[in-house]
Amino acid sequence: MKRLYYLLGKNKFWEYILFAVFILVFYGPLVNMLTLSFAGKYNYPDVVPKTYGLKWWQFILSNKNLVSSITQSLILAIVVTALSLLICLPAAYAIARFQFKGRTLVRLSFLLTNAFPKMGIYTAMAVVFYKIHLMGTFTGVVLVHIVNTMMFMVWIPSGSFANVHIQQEESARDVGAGPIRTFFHITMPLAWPGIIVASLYTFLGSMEEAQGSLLIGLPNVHTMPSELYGIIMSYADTAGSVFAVILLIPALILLIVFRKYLSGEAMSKGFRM
Amino acid sequence: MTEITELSDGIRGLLHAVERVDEMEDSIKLEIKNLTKMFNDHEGVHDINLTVHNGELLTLLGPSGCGKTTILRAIGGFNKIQSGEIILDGKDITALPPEKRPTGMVFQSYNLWPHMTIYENMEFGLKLRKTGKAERRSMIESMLKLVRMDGSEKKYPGQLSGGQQQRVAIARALVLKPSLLLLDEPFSALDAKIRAAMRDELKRIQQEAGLTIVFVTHDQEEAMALSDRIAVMSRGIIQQIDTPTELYDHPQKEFVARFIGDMNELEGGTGEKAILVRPEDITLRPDEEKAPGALTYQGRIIDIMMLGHYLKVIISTGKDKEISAFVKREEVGDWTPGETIAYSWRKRVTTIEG
Ligand SMILES: Nc1ncnc2c1ncn2[C@@H]1O[C@H](COP(=O)(O)OP(=O)(O)O)[C@@H](O)[C@H]1O
Ligand SMILES: [Mg+2]
Repeated sequence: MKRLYYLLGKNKFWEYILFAVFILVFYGPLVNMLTLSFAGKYNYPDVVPKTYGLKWWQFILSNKNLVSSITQSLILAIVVTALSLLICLPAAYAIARFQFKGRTLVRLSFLLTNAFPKMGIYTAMAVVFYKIHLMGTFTGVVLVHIVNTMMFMVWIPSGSFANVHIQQEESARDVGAGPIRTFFHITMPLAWPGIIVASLYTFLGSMEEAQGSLLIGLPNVHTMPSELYGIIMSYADTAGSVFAVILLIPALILLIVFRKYLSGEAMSKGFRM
Repeated sequence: MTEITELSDGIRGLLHAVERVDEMEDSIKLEIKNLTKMFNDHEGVHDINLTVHNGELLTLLGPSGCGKTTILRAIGGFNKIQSGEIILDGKDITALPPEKRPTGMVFQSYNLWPHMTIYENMEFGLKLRKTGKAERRSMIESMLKLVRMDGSEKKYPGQLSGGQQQRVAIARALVLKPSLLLLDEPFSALDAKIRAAMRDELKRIQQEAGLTIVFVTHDQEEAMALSDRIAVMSRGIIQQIDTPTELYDHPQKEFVARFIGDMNELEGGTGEKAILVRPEDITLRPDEEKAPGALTYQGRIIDIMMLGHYLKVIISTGKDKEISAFVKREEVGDWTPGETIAYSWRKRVTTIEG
């Protein structure tokens, strides 16, 4: 240990220790979950399973309800992300570019969607949804999810839009592009990091959202997280692990595909307003 | 007899043709009539009238905030104006959006699109005009050559220096063959040495391509070096439009006199306004001799600077007041800073109004 300490130098040494702790805290449970999902025989207090196998994967994948909830969640997340982009990007652009009365109010109103206790908002929505017959519908759940992530979908891209220099847009107009073409060819590509981070956040948020989906969606809409509640309660944690791993897969794929956009810089720019 | 009339007819025809060419060269490219654009009660430009001729480089010059950019942006279509007309090549373009105007604009900075290569930057406008692929390539290559940036096609803007980026921005505007090029302080973000080089470069490009340019700057030296004519502005109005020489020798207003070139202010006689004198029109004499001229003054030498052919002598004329004089080297005695000296003026600048 001492040798290592002097080999690396004081700062480096602590950096490594910190890094090791970080790995353990953040990835320990993940690795544990992964091993458990491939368990054969497993008793609760043990750290590792006694035998391994695909038993629990088969259990999950042969359960029609569970499989359909996976599809349901994926479709839901895609629809939510697409709609959210459609609604929030214009708002984000307007906030970034145009000086209008009540601009601060608009910006803060998006914050409010996240400032109140979630359950309160869901209950309020439920009351309204009952009246307009959106309870237990796919549309209802979509709306809940959009409200949930609206703030990020507006704030982060808005920060990115504000970072696109006006001259870059005006140059595009100057060489002959109309406002719409300018937005899609110049502004959007330059704001990609923020838009992608926000979309990922929305997509993954929708994938894992449970409370609102349960309250508004049941009994007709079954998403993965709401099914997960049932599984954890009625089956061993092994089945839960498999399900959790499945829940993780889209997140991992997205993170890997878009990793170059996920810098801290892109995130912090989004919050500088 | 008939032969002679025929001949003289021929000569007359020829003369006519020559006159027409003259007219063509002198013909009007851009006309701005009574343009007003006020952002609020006191900021903006008011009742601007301006004519730019074919092949001319006209500069809008004035201190920061005087409204140069406002006029240029109005020509480019980026400012909605409140009243007035903008006529380019005989067509009223006042109501057209920027993308419909045959103008090309280059801003002070951030012109290029950082997510596209230099080639893609140049290609964007050509594609919108449905120019063929092969033609695009040859146009882009020759334009990059004109601004001496050939070979940078595959680079991204972030890989170029500030000066190189501005060259590419100019090339990107020029490749679309704009009828009028608009430059808004395109070199002011560059350091002094590169700025001077870019000036010469621009003059060369303008002559090679036969361009008409409206150039904006707050730097009077830059304006004097580049322009065919200069419109000197202050507080939202044009004070005088003239050639650099005319502005220097015969400024119509005191503002212009002070803004263009170096200017000294000498005390006038009783009840008279200050006398404006250029540094080269100051005569210095040793104190005992008294300087010749209408009025003689006394001052103390603060500094003597060597400028090659000339010396620049800074003289303190009272508390917090200084004048400068350009003196030929052979006219200067063994003066040293701190010495008292007599001076007078040979020629003063008279303005029509204050
Ligand atoms: N978009 C705007 N909104 C409000 N005032 C503006 C705007 N653009 C320019 N101004 C004001 O108009 C005046 C002229 O500005 P500008 O044309 O940019 O000056 P210059 O280019 O000569 O430095 C300045 O006082 C400036 O503050
Ligand atoms: Mg300006």
